[in-house]
Amino acid sequence: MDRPNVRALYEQYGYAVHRRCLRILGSHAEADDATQEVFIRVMKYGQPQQLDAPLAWLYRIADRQSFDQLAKRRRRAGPSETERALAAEEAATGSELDPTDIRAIATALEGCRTSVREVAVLYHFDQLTQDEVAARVGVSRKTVKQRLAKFMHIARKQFGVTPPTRKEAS
Amino acid sequence: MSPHPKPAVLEAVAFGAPEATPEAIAHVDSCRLCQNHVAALRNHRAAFLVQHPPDAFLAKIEPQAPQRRAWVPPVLALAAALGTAAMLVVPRAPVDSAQTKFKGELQLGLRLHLSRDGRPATPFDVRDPLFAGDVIRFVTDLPFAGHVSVGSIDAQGRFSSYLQAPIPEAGPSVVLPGAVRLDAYVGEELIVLAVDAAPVDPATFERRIRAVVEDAGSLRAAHDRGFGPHAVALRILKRQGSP
Repeated sequence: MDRPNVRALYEQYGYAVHRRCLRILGSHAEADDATQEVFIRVMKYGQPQQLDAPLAWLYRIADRQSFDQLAKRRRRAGPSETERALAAEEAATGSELDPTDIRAIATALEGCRTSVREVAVLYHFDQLTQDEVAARVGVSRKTVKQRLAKFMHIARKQFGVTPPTRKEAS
Repeated sequence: MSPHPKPAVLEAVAFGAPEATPEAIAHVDSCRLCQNHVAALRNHRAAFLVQHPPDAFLAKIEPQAPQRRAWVPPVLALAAALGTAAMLVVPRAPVDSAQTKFKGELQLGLRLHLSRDGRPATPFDVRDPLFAGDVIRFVTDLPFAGHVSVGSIDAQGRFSSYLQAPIPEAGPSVVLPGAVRLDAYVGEELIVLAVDAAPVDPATFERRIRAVVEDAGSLRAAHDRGFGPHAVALRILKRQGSP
């Protein structure tokens, strides 16, 4: 994708990408790196037709990039930094999720496999229903439920955090 | 009043993305809570751009993301245009039936045969480097008949379409028609073969490959991740000079 298009995308959605990465990674420094990687990919591989739904496309790349970074991470941001970064961000943008919940999710994401992370991000951050997550990821609803249960288990057992629960018809 | 839009939709409204639905926009127009949320996101974006100015950001990423060169026509078309007939070299390719193993269902496979310096084509080990002027042919284990697409993408993001053809019969070690004479590009490349029940136009095939590479972030990661159940990829390395 050429420079003017990348610049326009960055001006319009750069913050959204950074915010997305920050919510998954829990560190401003890592979110900065991830945002750069996202736009490098956009510059290298982006095609004009992806501008039909640019935000979803950028979020998809941001998720992948953040998951890759999580997989490689040896925890650099301490919990206090993570909590401060997320709390400030969420307080400023008036998220419907409590900063403590955001932190719990970000913390637990670190201990999950990518397939579980993907489902957890769509369910907890994007607030999709289990059916919607299943359709987006291309798996059954049963698989989504299993992955969310795995996510909750990891959050509670390994990290001692409790992500928020949502009531949903089964 | 309609229910509050989901976060991603609200973000689309705030950032002016085409994904914002008319219903969500109408909701925001009539909901003070969502208006505040949208305003906060926009204010935060403005502050972010002050802290991370676009020019400085682009200056950081541009050296790491060289602009893709103008689209290079598929090697076959280029050769035809030059009248060199370079692409029409069809070396005799032996069928390596001795190497074919049948255990359960035949798995989709892709191998290369190499003809170098006019010599007959022989099976090529992709761990070895290739050089400009090498002529390669594609040999596939085809579990079902269908429309076969072959293309490559290099580390600079250049895509080349090598083959779009119906292959009427499945089987092991099917030698695909035509051959490709390699250009002078030096570096890593992924060659991807996909089989579809119906014809796939080259642009769709290219988009499919780009989507995987873009998601994965590198050719190596894309190769490891795979291109779907009916596709297979080979990593090759092209070096400068001669063998």
